[in-house]
Formats: sequence, structure tokens, C-alpha cells
Amino acid sequence: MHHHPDALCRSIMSAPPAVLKPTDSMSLALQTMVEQRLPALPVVDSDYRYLGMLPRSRLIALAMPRVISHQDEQHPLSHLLQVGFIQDTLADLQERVDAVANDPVSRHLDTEVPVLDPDTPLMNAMLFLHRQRNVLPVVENGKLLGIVSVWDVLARIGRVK
Amino acid sequence: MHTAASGVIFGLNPLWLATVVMIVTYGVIISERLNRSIIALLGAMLMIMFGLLTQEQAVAGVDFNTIGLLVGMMVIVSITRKSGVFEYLAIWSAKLVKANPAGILAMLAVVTAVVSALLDNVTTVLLVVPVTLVITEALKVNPYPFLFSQILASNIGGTATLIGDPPNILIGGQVGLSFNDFVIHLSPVIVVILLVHVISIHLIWGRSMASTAELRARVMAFDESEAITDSRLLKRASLVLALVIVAFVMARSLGLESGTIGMAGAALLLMLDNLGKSAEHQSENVVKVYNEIEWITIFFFRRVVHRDCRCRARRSAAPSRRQAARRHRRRFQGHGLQHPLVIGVPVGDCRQYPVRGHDDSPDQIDGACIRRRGRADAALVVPFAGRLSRRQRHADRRQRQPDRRRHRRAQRHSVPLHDLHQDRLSADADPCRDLQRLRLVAVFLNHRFRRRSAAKDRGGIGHQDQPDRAALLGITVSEDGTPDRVVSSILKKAMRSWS
Repeated sequence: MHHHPDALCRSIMSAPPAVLKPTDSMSLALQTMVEQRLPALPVVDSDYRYLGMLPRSRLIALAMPRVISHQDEQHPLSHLLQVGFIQDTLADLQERVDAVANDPVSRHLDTEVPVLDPDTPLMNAMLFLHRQRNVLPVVENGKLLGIVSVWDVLARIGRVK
Repeated sequence: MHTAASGVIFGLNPLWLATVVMIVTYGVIISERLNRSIIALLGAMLMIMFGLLTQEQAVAGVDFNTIGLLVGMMVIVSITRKSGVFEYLAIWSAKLVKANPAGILAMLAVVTAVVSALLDNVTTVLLVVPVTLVITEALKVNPYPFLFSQILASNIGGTATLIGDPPNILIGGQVGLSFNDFVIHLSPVIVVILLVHVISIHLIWGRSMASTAELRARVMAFDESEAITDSRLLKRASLVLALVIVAFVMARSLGLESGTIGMAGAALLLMLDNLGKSAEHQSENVVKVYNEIEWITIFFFRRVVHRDCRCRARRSAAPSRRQAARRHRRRFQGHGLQHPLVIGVPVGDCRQYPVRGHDDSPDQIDGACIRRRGRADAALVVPFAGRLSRRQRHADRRQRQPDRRRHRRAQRHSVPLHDLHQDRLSADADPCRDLQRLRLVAVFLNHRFRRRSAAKDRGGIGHQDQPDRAALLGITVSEDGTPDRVVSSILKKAMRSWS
């Protein structure tokens, strides 16, 4: 069965406002993300092949004790319920991020982000957006075609120019 | 009893087929190619599909007492941990030793051991490790020694009590050891082992660990009271946990099984946690708690418990008595393993009770001890009275003073087979009452004897050709008429008291 072209991801896809190279530093990634207010950045190599995403949640996790970033994959019982007992200050968070500032972004990529095909039904992308994914890469034959971003989609739905 | 035998596919030997299934199952479990709960489930299904077990037998083989206890304790842990008490304990213990890394290493091992004595091992490690990682990161020390020592400590501590470790629950359930038996016999040993563990970990890693005063101040700044998220829940959970432990200690006098106690504690805590909340909130809560139950462990356990069931099926599926005898011999030989918990059971009164659960009893007469098992075999039942108090053990004896001497003799000297049938229980003694408390050992004697005069002979065993040459074929422990496995050392003891 063929979908109507307007019912595919292709129709709501937009060009990524910024991409990272795997060799870019984490500090550059943080700067780009903050300045352009982007929820996540796609990382591509010199041939524009998609390598992974760097979401802002990864940067937040890096500013916290390391156990936080390991929790997703583990057993539900091993999750810290809350971390209010740790009396860390802004300086401590800065210290942690500074420690990884010169790392290449390739070391902190999130490869678990769902990847869309331009011919994926539009509704699949909407479901991901509903589930708190803000930016989804659209990849064809390994190359990054564009992104489905929550802002672009909302702008089109609401006819905001 | 013989339905299982007829159903075995291709008429294969059930012993070999069951053994092959078992070896393959364990092989795959060891290879770790598939999750153990999936393999356990597949193996159990194969046992049924090959006709080695009927579904009823398989279900009957599941030890719901063990599973009830496991599930109950998992529910209690899952609710209790929401209060943040485990984080509190870990931070409190770290601050107690002034955040000195070597001290924390020892303290966390002790805390882990104590907590896993009351809760499941894996759960305890999962609860303590995240806080440990936060502490080690703050101190900038290698977390490896901490995790290593906690894994060992949780296993050491878990051994101390019946509820500390699933194998304990299984052993306790099968051998009939109570919560108190475990605590009394194992706790002193465990304290020593834990000390040895803590000291050796200190010598290997602890003494060379260092951290700066500044980093230690960071851990000292941790506010453990912040870790307690719900102090009301904490009070309720502590109350329930205390009640559960008191119930375990008094289980005998309360007449409760450990599965009942675990489930009752879970039900009580679930109720206290959800009282006064909206229906939706309650169901959401309950689903969350049930999701945290480790179903992998539960499913794996069903399978482990099946083993026992299969042994039973193997015997009941015996196509002929001769084969059964051969099989008994084989099983006896295979049980060279020494079971430390069973060895301690003394061979007590050698009185005779009727064998229950055996269908071949042409000559059995009300309460007679010896049953004909074809021409060559006789089944003899020896009660192992070690688990009863002295008073209970000899209650029967007091009722039958005139026979006392004979019992003594039965214990120490050889008993000609033709004497045994006369040594029946008196009418006022109720063997069934004792059967429920006693662990019975049926000794199958390979004995040539002639029937004197089949139906008229009330004892039913007649004269023996060679009264002194009784060869032990097999042994069956039974508490409720269902056989169980036992070790060869008991067989030897039984032989010593009989020959």
C-alpha cells in the first residue's frame, strides 16, 4: 500500500540548522546548542553520513554524577530515586563539564535516538515527538537528509510563519 | 502412576530422556546464549511435551512456598525502597567513618551484608551500588574494590538467614529447616566469615586508598536526611518488616509457612501504602510494584523446583519392578554428594510405618512395615526423628513401654526380617500424625525370602533364605508420602543401625 506523499516524514522534514563533526569538541557543541536554542544536534562525518545525535539531556547528565547517565540501561531497582542528598553547587557542575570540554563529541553520542526514513509515515514521527523526542534525524542510505524538529512541525501545524 | 511412562515419546527411556533434557538445559544456561528464565521455561515445557511429566505433575512440582516467599519479599523491598532508606543507610555509614575511603569500604560491606541477610542479595546490591558510585566519584577513588566487596558481602550476609538468598529458601523448604534453624546455625559462622572478608578486602585495597581532606568534606556534606523521601512510608515499611521477621522467628508456634508470612507482609504493606489514595493512583502504584518483581528469578525457580518432581516421575514411570530396582541402585550410586544439612539428621527410632504412595503392595497388611516388592525386594520405612524434640520423638515410645527394649535393639542390632512385622504400632498410636512431622526413609532391601503362606501369614514376609544379607537398593525420604532425594551418608547410617 502506498502512502500519500503528504503522509510521509518527507513532507515535514526540514534542513538541520547546525550539524557537528565527530571531531568537534564538547564545548563547541554546548555553545552551538545554547546559542541557537537547539534541543539536539546531529553528528555527521565529512561525507554527511549520519553518526548519531548529541541531545541536550546528555550534556545535563555529564554535569551530574556519572551514575545518572548509566541508569537508563540498568535494572529499575538500581535507579537513584532522588539525589537531593548530594550538596553539589554550580561550581561542581561546571567542574564536571569542564572535565569533558575537550572531548570529541563522538565519545558522547547518543546512538539510541530513533532514525526516520523519508518514507516513514508521518504519524510515526509524531508519536516520537509526543514521547519527548525533540529532534529526529531523517536518514536515507546512511546519509543525513534532514531532521524532524518539534519546532518546525508545530510551526507548520499552527501555520506560524 | 504409570500414565507418565506410557506417554514418553517414541517409548524412550524416561531416565535418559530426562537426563538429556537436564544436561542440555544446564548447558545452555552455562553458555549464557539465552536468558536463563527462557531456557528454564523451555526445558519445563519439553518435559511435559516429551511425556515425562503430566501438566498436573509439573504444577504439583512447583514449590509455591518458595515462590510465595520470594514474591512477598520482593514486593516489600520494592515498596520500602521508595522511602529512600537504603540511600540513607549507605550515606549514614559513610559519614560514620568520617568519609575515610578505607572505612567506607568496610562499612558498606557490613551494611550490604546486614541488609542482604533480610532481603534478597541481588536486590541489595542493586540498591546499594548507585549510592556507592556517587560516593566513590565524590572521593575520586576507584569504585571496583567497593563493588567487588559488596558482591561478596551480599552473598555472605545472605547466607545467614532463610530469607537472605533464594537457595536458602529452597534448601529450607526441601529439608524442612526453619528461619530459626538458619539463624542459630549460620549466624555465628557468617559473622566470622564477614570479618575475614572485611579484613582481607582492607589488606588488599583499603589500606592503600587515599583521598584528600577536601574531597572527604564533600562526602561529609551529603545530607542523608534528604535521602528519606517519605518518612511516613518508612515507618510503615519498618513496622511491616519487623512484623515479618518476628513472624519468621515464631513461625513454628504460629503454625505458618514462610510463603504465607512473606505474602502476608506484602499484602499488609501494599495496603498501608495505598490506603486513602484514589483508585487510579492505587492501581498505578500496584502495577509499578509488580513490575519491579524479578520475574526472571521466579521463573528460573519454578524450573529448579521441577527437578525434584522429575525424580519422582522417573521412579513412578518404572515399567517393571526390576527396572525400578536397577534405577534405584543407579540413583543411590549417583548420590555420592554430601549434603551438609542432611548429614546432621540422626537416624532415630527404627520403627516401621506403612509406606504411602506405592501401589505395589500385595502383602501389605494394616500398618505392617515390610511390603513385598516382587520377589527380590522389600520396602522398609525408617523414620528419621531428628527434627522432633526429644519429647515428641519418644511420645510413642512412652505409650508402649513393654516394647521399649525391642526398639532399642532395633536401633543398635541387626533385626531379622521376620521379626519386623511383629513390631507394629499399637492401635492407639497414630502413625499418620507422626508421618506429617517425621522425615521418613524407606530403605529398599534386596532380600530373598519365601512366603510362608501367602494370605494367612499376617506379617506377610515369611522366612528369609539369607537373613543377614540385606542389600540396600535405594532410599526415599518422604514427609507426606511423596519421595525425595537423600544422600548416601544417611543410607550408610541407616545400614549401620540395621545390620
